[in-house]
Amino acid sequence: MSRLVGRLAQGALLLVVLSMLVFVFAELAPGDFFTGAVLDPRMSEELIETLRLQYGLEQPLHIRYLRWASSVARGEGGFSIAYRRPVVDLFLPRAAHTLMLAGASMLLAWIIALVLGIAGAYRAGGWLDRSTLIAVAALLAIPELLLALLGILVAVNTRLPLGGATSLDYASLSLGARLIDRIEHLVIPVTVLALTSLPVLVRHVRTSVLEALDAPFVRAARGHGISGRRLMLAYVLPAAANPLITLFGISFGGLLSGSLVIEGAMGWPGLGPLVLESMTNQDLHVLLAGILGVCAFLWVGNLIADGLLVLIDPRSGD
Amino acid sequence: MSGGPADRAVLSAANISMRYRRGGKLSGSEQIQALDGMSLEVRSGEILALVGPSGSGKSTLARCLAFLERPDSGEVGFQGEAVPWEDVLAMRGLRRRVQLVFQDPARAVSPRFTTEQVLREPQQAWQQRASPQRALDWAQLLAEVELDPKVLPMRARSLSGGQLQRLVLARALVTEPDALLLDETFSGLDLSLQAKLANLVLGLVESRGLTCVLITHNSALAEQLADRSLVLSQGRVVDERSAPDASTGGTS
Amino acid sequence: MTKPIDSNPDPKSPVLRLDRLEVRYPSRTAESDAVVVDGLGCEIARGQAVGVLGESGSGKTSLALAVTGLLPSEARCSMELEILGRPVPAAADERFWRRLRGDTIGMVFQQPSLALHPMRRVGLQVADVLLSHRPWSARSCRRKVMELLDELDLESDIFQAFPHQLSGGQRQRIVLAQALACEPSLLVADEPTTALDRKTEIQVLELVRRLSRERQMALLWISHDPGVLAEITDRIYVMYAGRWMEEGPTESLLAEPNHPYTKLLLDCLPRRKALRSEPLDRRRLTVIPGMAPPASELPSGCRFVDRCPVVTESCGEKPSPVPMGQGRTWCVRAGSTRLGSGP
Ligand SMILES: Nc1ncnc2c1ncn2[C@@H]1O[C@H](COP(=O)(O)OP(=O)(O)OP(=O)(O)O)[C@@H](O)[C@H]1O
Ligand code: SF4
Ligand SMILES: [Mg+2]
Repeated sequence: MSRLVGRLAQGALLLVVLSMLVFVFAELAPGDFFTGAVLDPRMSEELIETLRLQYGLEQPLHIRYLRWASSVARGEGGFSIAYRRPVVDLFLPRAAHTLMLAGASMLLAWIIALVLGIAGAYRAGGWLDRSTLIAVAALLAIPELLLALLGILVAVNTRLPLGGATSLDYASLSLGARLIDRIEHLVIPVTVLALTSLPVLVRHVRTSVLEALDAPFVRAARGHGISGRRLMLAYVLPAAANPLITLFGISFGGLLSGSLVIEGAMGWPGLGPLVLESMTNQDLHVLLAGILGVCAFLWVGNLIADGLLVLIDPRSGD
Repeated sequence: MSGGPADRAVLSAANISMRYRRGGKLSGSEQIQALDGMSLEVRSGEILALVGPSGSGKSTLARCLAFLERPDSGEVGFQGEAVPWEDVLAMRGLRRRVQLVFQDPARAVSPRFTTEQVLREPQQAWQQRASPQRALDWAQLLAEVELDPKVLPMRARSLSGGQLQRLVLARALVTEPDALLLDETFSGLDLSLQAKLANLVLGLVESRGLTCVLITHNSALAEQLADRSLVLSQGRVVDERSAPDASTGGTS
Repeated sequence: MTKPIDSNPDPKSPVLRLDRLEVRYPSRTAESDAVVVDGLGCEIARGQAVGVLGESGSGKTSLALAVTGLLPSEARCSMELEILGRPVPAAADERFWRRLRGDTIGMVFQQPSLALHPMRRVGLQVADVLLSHRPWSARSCRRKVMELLDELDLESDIFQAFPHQLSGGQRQRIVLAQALACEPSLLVADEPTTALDRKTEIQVLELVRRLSRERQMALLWISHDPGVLAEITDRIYVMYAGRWMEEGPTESLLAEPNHPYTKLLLDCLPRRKALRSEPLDRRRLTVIPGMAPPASELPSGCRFVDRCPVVTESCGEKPSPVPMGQGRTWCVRAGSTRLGSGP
């Protein structure tokens, strides 16, 4: 328990340091949000200056940081100049969409990877194993964007919707129809995203299980005639669990960065487009929220993985 | 070997006790008294055997005598002076002078390391400080433990059990210790290898003037090799047997 | 669940009859395979304890794995094997073996500390063996495990323990409990006690001896330690570089070995007592000079030829077994001349 508290404090500290770094780096980059506005013929020099003053951009770095920090403390998470509202209002609905996409594809990818990896390793060199390996190698060779394009192609040729998380008439639908609508919108993006992370997962699951099959205690169990499902479930998989859980923690990160790309390509209303936009127009507080959000997500993934590792290790318990 | 200043104690333990807590559902928080007021002296240049059943505290004692673990109470001495546990630097220097070799060489070295890397480990840690001007003579060190120099670039995992055990011995010699503690180093080896390694250790004791503490449960081996045997039981010395003196006709 | 080999066919047939066992591993460097076991045969009667004495690398483990069908997939193996009088088909596959293993043949491995799953309660690991071979309910398996633990002098609360909570001796008993759970006709043990201290080792050996008498269980006990074999076996086969050197009743073989290799090996045992202030040279143990030949460069005749102190010209041919007393010796000089144990 005290270890958990320690980890949480560590994570909070990490986020604070990170936010400071982002401020410093943003300062080093030339210009600010209004640099682009100079080119706009409708904006006069004076207007831009007043706006700068209004948003406090002329203030020294530490003041700006403290203002941001107090805004975070108030629960606003900073202020987006581009959208003229607190970052939280922008962020939360989109974050929910991104989490939905990343979570669903993570679930899908892991289920497929576990099934194929375990079945393949159990009969290594068999037809299933060989075809899985070939498919995985092929998948690895296809760039993410091409996969997204293929997904769009599929969507065009079926009646599956694409773009957005819900239909236009969502509000008028019944509860059941709403659910179906949501799922239909998820199918293509989730599949594409799952496919991008699948190759690495399948390979890792397969090698972990192969290694576990070769462990001395698994061989000993075979020597006692323990075989089939009992061998797999009670001996091999627990032995493979350690590397797999570690991979699980890491896969959080890959999925999130993947989903940012896929969202842009497939018109999914998640965080991806917002964060990319904030990067180009130097909407610092939005960018900051994006970076810190990703980090927090990674860190939570790691925490879960570590917790699971402790949980399954009989030596840590008692 | 007997008489004169050679009889001085290199290592000593005065009334040392050590207790481990063993957690776990099964045993509750049971306390295990590994060492229970143990006292002994290891005289300079002797081969001292420690025999006793498992759980009698042999390995704990060895770790204390190698200054790797501090007993809960009592004092460990080196060349007549109590060991300054708090002084990290001094301890580092002392640990160089007493080397402990374990039973399972495969666990003592990283399988991915090459022989050379294994030997460099202690060298990097100690040699620079001790005598920076002297480069280590690999060929000679390997010859001393009867290892073929061809093994230098080989990874530890591809060495045979005998080669590994020799490598671990060589690593212990890198720091030029005064005393060697062998914790079941010959156990689990087959007869011919056990004999070869035992002879090797005898040779090293002779040529380097080492003091040697031999921990073993093989009492025949202890009798053949050691000047003196201490029998341990439940964290105490319960018996001492000295080899008969050669000059006073112990020719049985 | 039917057994591929009935546990009670002809009571007079040996539990194990092995002939012409050959095990080779494809070599990474040389183009010819490494022949690790070369033409071994032996027979074990009901309740008989047979020991195999050999140095590290002589092929002992390969022998044990071959008669249990556990050789790694890259190994090539040919043999004529009968278990309880029924031949094991040359094409026996995993499905065939897995019903024999743990049921008719119990197996105890080298390195007992590694033989138990670190994340599974040891009682369950014993129960798993029963569940794999008997159509019993989980509860009756559990009851049987409790009986076994009791029989092996283990407390019943050990059932719930994880391996890391047990001492080496306790762990070894759990491994034995697994091997004995289905009351096998044959127990194959590959150096199971090397990791134990002498006292625990003796306890385990006595335990196995008692059980094998009670159950008429045959033993194939593999070890490099003559002391262990003296404790537990009726008969010993001495193995060197994949071949038998000598075979005979335990007592006479250890007391009066006939083969030069056995003699030299037994001479390596520490016997002398040290004297104070004698030159350390005098405390040296006898060693066998030289090293065992690598499996890729085996001599064509007697395998011991490079190290043998009494070698003659005819040693270049493969020695055939010479009956000596109640045993056999694979040495061209056996019986003809009195063999010294070297200079
Ligand atoms: N999978 C393998 N591939 C190639 N060579 C192998 C393999 N397994 C064993 N060998 C070789 O076969 C020979 C005999 O090995 P084996 O394990 O049977 O010896 P052993 O008598 O049991 O030795 P130890 O006492 O050390 O256990 C050795 O030279 C070993 O290197
Ligand atoms: S056959 Fe020849 S070489 Fe082999 S043991 Fe006999 S005498 Fe020695
Ligand atoms: Mg072996």
